[in-house]
Amino acid sequence: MENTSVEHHKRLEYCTTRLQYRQGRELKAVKVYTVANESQHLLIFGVPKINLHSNLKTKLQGFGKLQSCVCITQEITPKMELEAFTDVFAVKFERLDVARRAKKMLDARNFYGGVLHISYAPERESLEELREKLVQRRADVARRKRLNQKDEMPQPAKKRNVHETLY
Amino acid sequence: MFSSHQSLRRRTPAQGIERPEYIAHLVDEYYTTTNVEAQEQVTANLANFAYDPINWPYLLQAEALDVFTASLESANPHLKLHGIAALCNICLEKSAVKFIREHLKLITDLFVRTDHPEIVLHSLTLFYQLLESEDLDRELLLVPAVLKTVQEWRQKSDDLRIVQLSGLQQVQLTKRFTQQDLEQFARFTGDYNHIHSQDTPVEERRVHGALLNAVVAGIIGTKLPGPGTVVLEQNFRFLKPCRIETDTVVTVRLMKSRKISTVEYDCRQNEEVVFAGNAKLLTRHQKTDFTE
Repeated sequence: MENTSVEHHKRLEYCTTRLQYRQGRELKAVKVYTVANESQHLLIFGVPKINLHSNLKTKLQGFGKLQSCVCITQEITPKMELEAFTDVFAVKFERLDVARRAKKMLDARNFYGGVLHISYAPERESLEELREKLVQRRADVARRKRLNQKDEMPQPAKKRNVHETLY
Repeated sequence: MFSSHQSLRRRTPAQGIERPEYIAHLVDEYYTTTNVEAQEQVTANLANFAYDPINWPYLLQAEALDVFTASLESANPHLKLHGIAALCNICLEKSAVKFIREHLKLITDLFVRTDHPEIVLHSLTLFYQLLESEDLDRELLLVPAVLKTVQEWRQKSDDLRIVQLSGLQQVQLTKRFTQQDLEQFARFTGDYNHIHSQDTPVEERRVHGALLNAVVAGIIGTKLPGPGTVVLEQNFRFLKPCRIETDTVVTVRLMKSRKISTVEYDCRQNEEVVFAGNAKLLTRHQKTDFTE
């Protein structure tokens, strides 16, 4: 991948100027996400250069089926400034929801002294994977809508005589 | 990534704002604030809320769709980006599609004129989803300016995400072969095999296999991948006779997009596959920097 753009892998600044009512508990950057941004492929930056390949692999396997975990520091170095003494890994999970969870749990967390920065890498998807992902999005949304509809059935009133059985 | 009604209830603190109200506040702030950064922040929030279908009724109620189109019209590139991402997220919602159809020109104009790769990315994803949902007329969306822009990005972009999305295509057309077509083909090729002629009763008569392949080749050479493509190798099978005066759906799917691309194709009549195959193609202006 000679000239792949890596702009979308750069870490953005946290936003600190949000109005009180919409400042969440955690600081987040101002960024938009759609299905185009997510992927079963991830790039993991900031892994200290101390032979942590198998440690990383084991950690990732804890989230679900890992298909590959490759060190790509050489490939990335000409394109992006990396933190000194760190490696970057290209990781592929079998499922996008597993990748999502791994990213959520590990991003900005400490790993053997380094702070990991994880981003989705949809540019590494094959055409088939990309097509699959878009089909999956549609299916996920449909399922979610069904679940939401069921969930919205009127809840039993809070005040009830404790002796009354509901079901 | 998705919230349920329960988890929303659980997460809202006792004194906090409920989701529908919160979304309405964001929409209000967009219109009332004079601070550009605040507008960028709230549009990003709204765009990200649009990812989760639980928020769709609230977004529609709060007329967030108007915020998204207003963002597209603004001069601020961040707002444009947030607007298009929002539409890309909400485009699986029926009434959102209707809204998008009404503002299609605005969206395609942005796509054709922008030089911002992230905007292109979300636009392409939006277009792809709209086409897949079949709620939108292909012709309305795939106007020459749009197709041209897609090809340009495909050829010149460094961003593989965009190159991939631009190549993610499937072309389908419906053809009805007539006896006249068969006779013309026979005259042109010399294939007067009686199985194609009126000597055979119509329910046993079949379309020339080579004619089916030629129609597929026509798609390959004009639409997908398009002009300049050279077929290198083909494999195909004739599974069932292809009958005349029957709607035949011809589909070509791009499977691999490399210097040598591959497509798969089939012809169906009455939901049954009559002809199927694949081909290796040499495509023009193909970027060679893909890793296998």
